Amino acid sequence: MDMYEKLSILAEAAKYDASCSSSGSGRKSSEGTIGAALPSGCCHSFTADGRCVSLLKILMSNACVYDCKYCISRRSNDFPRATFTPREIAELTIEFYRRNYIEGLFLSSAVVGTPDWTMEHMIEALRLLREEYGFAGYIHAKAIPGADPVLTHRLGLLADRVSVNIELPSEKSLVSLAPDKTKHNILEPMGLIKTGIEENCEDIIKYRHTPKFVPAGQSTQMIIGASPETDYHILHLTESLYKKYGLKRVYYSAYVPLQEDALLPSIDTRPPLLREHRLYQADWLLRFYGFEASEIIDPKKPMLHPEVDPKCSWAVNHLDDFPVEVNTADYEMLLRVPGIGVKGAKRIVRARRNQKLDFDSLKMLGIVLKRAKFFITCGGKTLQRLPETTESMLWAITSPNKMGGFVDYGMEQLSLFEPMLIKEASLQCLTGEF
Amino acid sequence: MSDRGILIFAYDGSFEGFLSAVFDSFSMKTIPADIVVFDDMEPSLLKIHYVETNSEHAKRVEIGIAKKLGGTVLNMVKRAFLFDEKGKEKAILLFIHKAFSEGKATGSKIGDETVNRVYKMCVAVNNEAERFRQFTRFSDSNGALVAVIHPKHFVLPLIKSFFCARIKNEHFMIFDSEHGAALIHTPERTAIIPVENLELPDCSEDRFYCNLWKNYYRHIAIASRYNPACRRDHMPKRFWQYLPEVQEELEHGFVPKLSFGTAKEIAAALEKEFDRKLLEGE
Repeated sequence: MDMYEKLSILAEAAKYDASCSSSGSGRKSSEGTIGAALPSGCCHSFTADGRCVSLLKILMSNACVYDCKYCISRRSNDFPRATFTPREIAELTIEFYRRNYIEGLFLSSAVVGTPDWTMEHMIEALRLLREEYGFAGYIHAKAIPGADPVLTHRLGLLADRVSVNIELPSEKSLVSLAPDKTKHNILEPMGLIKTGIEENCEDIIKYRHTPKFVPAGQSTQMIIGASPETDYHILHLTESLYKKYGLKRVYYSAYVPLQEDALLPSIDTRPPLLREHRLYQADWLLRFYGFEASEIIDPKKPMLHPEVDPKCSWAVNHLDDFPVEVNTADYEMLLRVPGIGVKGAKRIVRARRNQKLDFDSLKMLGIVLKRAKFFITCGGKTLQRLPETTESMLWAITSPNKMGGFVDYGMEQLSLFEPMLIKEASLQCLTGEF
Repeated sequence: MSDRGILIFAYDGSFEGFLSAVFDSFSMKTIPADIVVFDDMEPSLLKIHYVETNSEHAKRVEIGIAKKLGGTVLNMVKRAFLFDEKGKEKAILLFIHKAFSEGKATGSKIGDETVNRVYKMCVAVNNEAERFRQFTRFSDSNGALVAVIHPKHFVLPLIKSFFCARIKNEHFMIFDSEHGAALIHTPERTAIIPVENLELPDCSEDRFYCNLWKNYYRHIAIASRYNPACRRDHMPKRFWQYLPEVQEELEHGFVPKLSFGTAKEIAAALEKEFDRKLLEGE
């Protein structure tokens, strides 16, 4: 089998992993003979589905002994199989890297033989890259659940980021859809990496030359829409993963049906892209906007609002906290204004130190007032009166023509035509940066 | 400022020349109607003051800004100067005058019109530089790496450290044909030099990894998530000329074959792909 064929098969099998970030590591070029990493990461291309390509994302092998129902590489699937040798992986990475196609390598693998055998070969590929080729670029590696803790540790010393996929949001779904994996198997390496990182942080303070262990932290991924969990459940799980395991990222992957199975959604289900998008927005609120999961979603309405983003949804339900005065409100409160993001809030804080802001200067700062105008005052002046009730607020901020009309707020405009259903396709506003 | 507004400054286009112009503006106590580069001067009725590039003057201005106004203002001036549009010199000069009269805090008054103009220029330059860190692609020519770019602004100084850190042991060159300059790097030294015309080395031999990369790109898109608008937002069309992975699409309006859903479809598609390659002798 030639490289073309292998690469096709193993890229094809790896593409359902959402993570492609190359951020969080500041590996210096002096640590090797080729490569360096930027703390902010760098995306080198974007696929036709708008997702970024930052790393060469491949499986080492897709010859899996497991039989997870949702997975394309599962044992019972009749599908071409291929395996890269460690040398091939290293060479491909270096050649792509020097042409500036990629930031580094994302290496995952199906379980070939035993988890230990798989891990050993992955480690060999990374070792070749780091030691023989002197590669100091970014490496993201998947830890294989069920492998020896010693191997997980060795992997962590070679990679910048390590991740263990939690796969499904609950143990029940895991048992029914991924019968070879267990919750314990997945959480164990996660815990190992967490303690590894903590110990490493202490050691680095004590000894200057301590090798770095997973400097870019760990992440995980779960599949959305293959099992019946609600957004409420997912967001609380996400929050506890951030808090308990100190994860850097939790990725959501809208379920793309690849095969018929009685336990899975039917084969012509469209991937729930809008739901995935809303979950990512909520995830951002958890990580950068100082929100708690319990503020974003409540058990009575366990799914995120499809038409408005979670921050807006929070704001319209807390109209008492608004309007805020941009010249005096603290940074945390500015972040909670719909339409003002991290960049905008920082610009406001920078600019207002030495001048009083009015609506014109806000525009100059690049603040989009379309939504924000309802929630802010500038020097006591408003641009638009704040509607009094949650319903009228929602009515005001969602533009009816874009959303195809309201469906269940009891305020729908009378229409001669059938109310249009929300089309996922027309609402695709995915960010692409994974 | 008796003759304010009736004078035009002409300088040589270099940063040093510009700082000399700033020096003249302060010493002559005048703000010129415009500052232009000798070479693209248009006939004008206004009086012209030819700025002599004087490294001592330039140094004094630079040190003055750094000491009195701080690093933020100096960095903004340097960065904004890389911006490539008419009128940038005047905008920066007004900013410097404002900063000298209002002090260090001027750099953060980004809600003020004069400051905002320069601030936006800096943002535009930074964004352009980031794009070229992302989308510059090298081809291998007998072991040396070559890339040609056409950036809107002069970004070579900003992307230098990025590439030198990454491929420091290689010989590489990035040729900016818009601004007639090239970043040339060998393991021993790095320099940005003016280059008028350049005969590019032949890179046609470098097909193997380039084709592998195109092949890889084709296989990582998920058909049911197809979203060309999102891709265009992140990767605007003007950068596609550098990217081997989208060349076919760019030249022939050819929609890349996305991979398909079921295992059988993928296998069939793969087979077809191999047949095509055999036919084309790849």
